[in-house]
Amino acid sequence: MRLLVVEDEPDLASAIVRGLVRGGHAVDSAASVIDAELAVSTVEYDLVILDWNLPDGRGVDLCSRIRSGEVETFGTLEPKVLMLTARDSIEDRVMGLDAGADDYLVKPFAFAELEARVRALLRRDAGGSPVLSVGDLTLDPAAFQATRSGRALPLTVKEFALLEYFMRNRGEVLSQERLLEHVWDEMADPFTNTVRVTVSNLRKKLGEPSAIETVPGRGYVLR
Amino acid sequence: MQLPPVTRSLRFRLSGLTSALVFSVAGLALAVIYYVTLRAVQSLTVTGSTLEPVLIDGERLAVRLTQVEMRTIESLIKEVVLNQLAVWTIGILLALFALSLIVGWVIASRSLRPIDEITSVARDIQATDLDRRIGLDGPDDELTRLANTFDAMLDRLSGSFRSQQRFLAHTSHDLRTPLAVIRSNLDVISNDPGATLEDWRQTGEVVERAADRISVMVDDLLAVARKELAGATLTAIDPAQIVTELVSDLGPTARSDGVVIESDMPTDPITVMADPDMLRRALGNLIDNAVRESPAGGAVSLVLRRVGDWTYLGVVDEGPGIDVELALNGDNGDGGMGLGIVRQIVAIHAGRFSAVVRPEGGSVLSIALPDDPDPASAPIGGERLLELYGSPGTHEPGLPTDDTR
Repeated sequence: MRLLVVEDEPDLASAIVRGLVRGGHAVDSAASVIDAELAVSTVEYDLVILDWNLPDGRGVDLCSRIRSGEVETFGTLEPKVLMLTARDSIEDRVMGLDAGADDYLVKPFAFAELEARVRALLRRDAGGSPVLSVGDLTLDPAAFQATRSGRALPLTVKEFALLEYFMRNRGEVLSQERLLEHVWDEMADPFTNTVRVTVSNLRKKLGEPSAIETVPGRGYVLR
Repeated sequence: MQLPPVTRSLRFRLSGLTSALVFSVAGLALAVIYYVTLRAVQSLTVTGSTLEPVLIDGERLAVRLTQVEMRTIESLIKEVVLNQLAVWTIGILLALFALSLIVGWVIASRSLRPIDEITSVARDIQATDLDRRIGLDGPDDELTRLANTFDAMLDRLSGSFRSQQRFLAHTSHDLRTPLAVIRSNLDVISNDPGATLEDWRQTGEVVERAADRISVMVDDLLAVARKELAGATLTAIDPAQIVTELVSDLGPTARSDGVVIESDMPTDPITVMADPDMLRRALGNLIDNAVRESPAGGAVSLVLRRVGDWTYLGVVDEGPGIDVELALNGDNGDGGMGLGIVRQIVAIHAGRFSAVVRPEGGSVLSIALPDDPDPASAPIGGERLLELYGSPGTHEPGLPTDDTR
């Protein structure tokens, strides 16, 4: 899943990015409202983690501008928003959630809780079960475990993230660009064959019968 | 017809009422005594001398004149009148005693009723509802003034209570950010089995930076708390001296960031009632803030001015312009608790803190300190402040440089 961390404290932003990347997410970061606006208008993010106080404005205002459509987000789906802030009063929580945030977490926080909330937000559209299953495939994002017919699959972080994205969008033909957009971060070079290579590695690990089909000229689909 | 204001005071009404009562009761008593005495005198029949026919030797008729002595009459009159007077005077005195008790009771309870009201409201007001006021109705008399004074005291109390609450909220907010840095970095690194020694070393540096920030904040916080507990000791000091000291203390560090600190002070000596340590800390925080806001090559000016009963200490920068709302009420981002501390110190001095963005860029953050801790006048507003401080480095003619009283 592609996430954006908007946080102006560099030491905090880097830790959050690092931890989420290790959890298999593709994560970008922005340190100001203006950077964040640019990011959400050029990339389709699944989730934005948003600080309240930014050097050039308030995250809560950015959130309501995204929700009202004043800031246009790239793609068809609006990102989920998780407010991450040191403001802990009831008034602030209410204000944040009313501005359109989907969740609210107060600093300082346990990283495990942030990860759990991120997972909870990301599965909200996918029917709500914490464990995904398609056919004989199951995937548990919290436990970082994927199985096929009960057999554990030894996936890398990127392969795991790719499989998760396929399973969340089963039956849909996913283009290389879309996969690059949602599973890789802004550092990925769009002209390499990294998507093709990772998909083929994932296929090998999934074994026979092949679960991921190639649709020539359009992309891949998980059936 | 409008009565003069003195007639509205409780003292006037009480003395007027008492005097009217004493006057009329005394008049009544005198009238009664006079009437009774008059009656006594009138009913007295003085039969002083009598003529009566008598027979002398059985056949001669003669007239006998009996003469009562004047002294007898006199003593008779005295006895009757004085007796009457004594009886009635004692009776009326006793009646007056009873009447005065009743009247005094009624007057006292009528005039003291507002005090009972004040007492009961004051007793009800707890620290949690400092927003309640007595708001005594009635003429502008001593009791209303007492209630108003009490209300004004409550205003000040609740103001300082609120500012403490705000300070606490901001402080906890500012402490949470570096704590979040420490916690997240440790969480992430300790759950990463592939973390190298280099990763751990970097995390160590991050944690150290955050811990340094926390310790600076805690120092600031304790300094203010200690001062507040001990009470600020306001003494007459020369703010120019503090400004000069700060420029020479903070100048070198600022210069290494490419920012010059200048001072701009009137030649006439100025004294201000302030706690020197607190004022130094407040101004120091303002300068830190201004240096952080300034672009490289910028200048920060410390400006000292006097207008009316107020002394103004302003810090002018050439930065992008501060978020005024945030500076006055909000948190101040990554700058530690700098401005929160300034606001707190200014509140202790009964001064005003203001933040203005200059149209040509940059901002002016200033502290206004009153001569009198209970200032009757308000300090000047933002527009005039800008005029007062001008642009850094430029001294336009016509700017007020000193007392413009």
